[in-house]
Amino acid sequence: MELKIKSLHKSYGKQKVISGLNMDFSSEGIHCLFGPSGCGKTTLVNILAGVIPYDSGDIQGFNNKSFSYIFQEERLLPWATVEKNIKFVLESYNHKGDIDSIVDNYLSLVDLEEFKNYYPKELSGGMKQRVSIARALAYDGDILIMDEPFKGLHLNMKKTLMDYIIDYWHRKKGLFILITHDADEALCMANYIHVLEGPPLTLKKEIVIDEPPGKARSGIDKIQKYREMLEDKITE
Amino acid sequence: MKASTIKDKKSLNKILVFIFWISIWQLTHIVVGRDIYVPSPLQVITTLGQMIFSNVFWRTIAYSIFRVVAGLSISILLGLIVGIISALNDYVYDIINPFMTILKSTPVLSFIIIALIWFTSSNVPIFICFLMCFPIIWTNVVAGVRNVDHKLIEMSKVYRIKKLIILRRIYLPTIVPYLLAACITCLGLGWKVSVAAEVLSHPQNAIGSHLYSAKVYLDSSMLFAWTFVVIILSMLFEGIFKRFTTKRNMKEYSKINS
Repeated sequence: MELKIKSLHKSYGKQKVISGLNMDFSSEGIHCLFGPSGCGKTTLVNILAGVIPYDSGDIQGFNNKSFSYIFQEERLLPWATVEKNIKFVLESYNHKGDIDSIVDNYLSLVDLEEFKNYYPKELSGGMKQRVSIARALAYDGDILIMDEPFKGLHLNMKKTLMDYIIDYWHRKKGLFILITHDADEALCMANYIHVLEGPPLTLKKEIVIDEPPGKARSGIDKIQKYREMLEDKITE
Repeated sequence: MKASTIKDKKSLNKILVFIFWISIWQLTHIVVGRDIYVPSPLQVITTLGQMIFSNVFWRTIAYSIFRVVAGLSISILLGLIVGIISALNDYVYDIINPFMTILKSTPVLSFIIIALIWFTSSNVPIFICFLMCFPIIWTNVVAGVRNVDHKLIEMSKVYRIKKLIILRRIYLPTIVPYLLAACITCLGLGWKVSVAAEVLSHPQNAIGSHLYSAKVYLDSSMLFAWTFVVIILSMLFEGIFKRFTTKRNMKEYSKINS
């Protein structure tokens, strides 16, 4: 499976957001786009997901893929219940028969079964984000994109949600893309860390972690070394 | 107990206000001194009482209600469809917009006169009601669509949701409050312009036709009585509509989404 970006360019007016970027997502695993806010990471994944056009360059292997996307904000329909919000992304395709069981299955995964008839405004921030995660997982796209999915969440909640996603990855495999500027998130979850800078977005460094994602990692020396490296990058 | 006294006080206030204005009316009648200029409240009520017991009265208001409802329904339906299309397509908007501006600023009488030439007398009020209400519905629907949350639209694009589902699940629920506000404005306006059109087109069964004959026979108490009927009907419509929508509002949302 070839998933590559070659000399990608994108600008908004005179502002160059991405300029001659080359990246490789071919290897299966959780790929982390690590970099400061405003460096163009979100623009890059939106281009990959086909939501915004790019100016020039070559993107291979992404155009016939489907995407599950966990946004920074929940982006739930305020007038629909939790259940209807998840059905919303399913009903365009022919899941029809087992739609109810899919919804129940993923709501129980994020511990929200009892809330399926609640409206988003009746839920807390963390619960809404869990709905958004359940929606992305239920949709079962070929590629899962997560754009700072744990932003502004309580530490315990963050850990729980990370576990959901790591569990899901162990079952499904494939390509996950995680955007973050948090070294802990990156080190806990990623198989590949692409250290980025910008704008314009450029690739500074690539780190490969060949341990399975999860909590067990935190004790390993090598991870500590990576952590220092990433934290240096932030303070720079 | 406290709540009930407040309620009593409120309804007492209402009655006092009512009595106050009726007295002003009676006073004006006495000062003016001629029935043809200002009939007395008692005269108007008597005329109204006589009217209510005739079959003609009920047939008349039934036909007038039918015309207003028909005019409003066509405006709402077309306003919704044309509004959504023009909000989503700039070319359509540019074509429709000047037409709406003209509709909004043309005197209603110019339309009534041309409609008298085009249509049979019974259909003129329907057409006029449509012409006056359609631009209001259209403007509000366009505003509603333009106000849609783009983050939700982007989300639907990522998940490759079908266009028809996006329309039903995102655009329609966004439009609903705008549409309801427009409908309430149109309920009042619809009655006013329909009756005006009836006065000039005088169909066989119409409130406007009775207003016209009141004018011909210089029967002011008849004029007042029929006007009173129009006011009551207009208020009744608005009241029913408001009660229906506030109760249904939330349910309506979930209906759209089911």
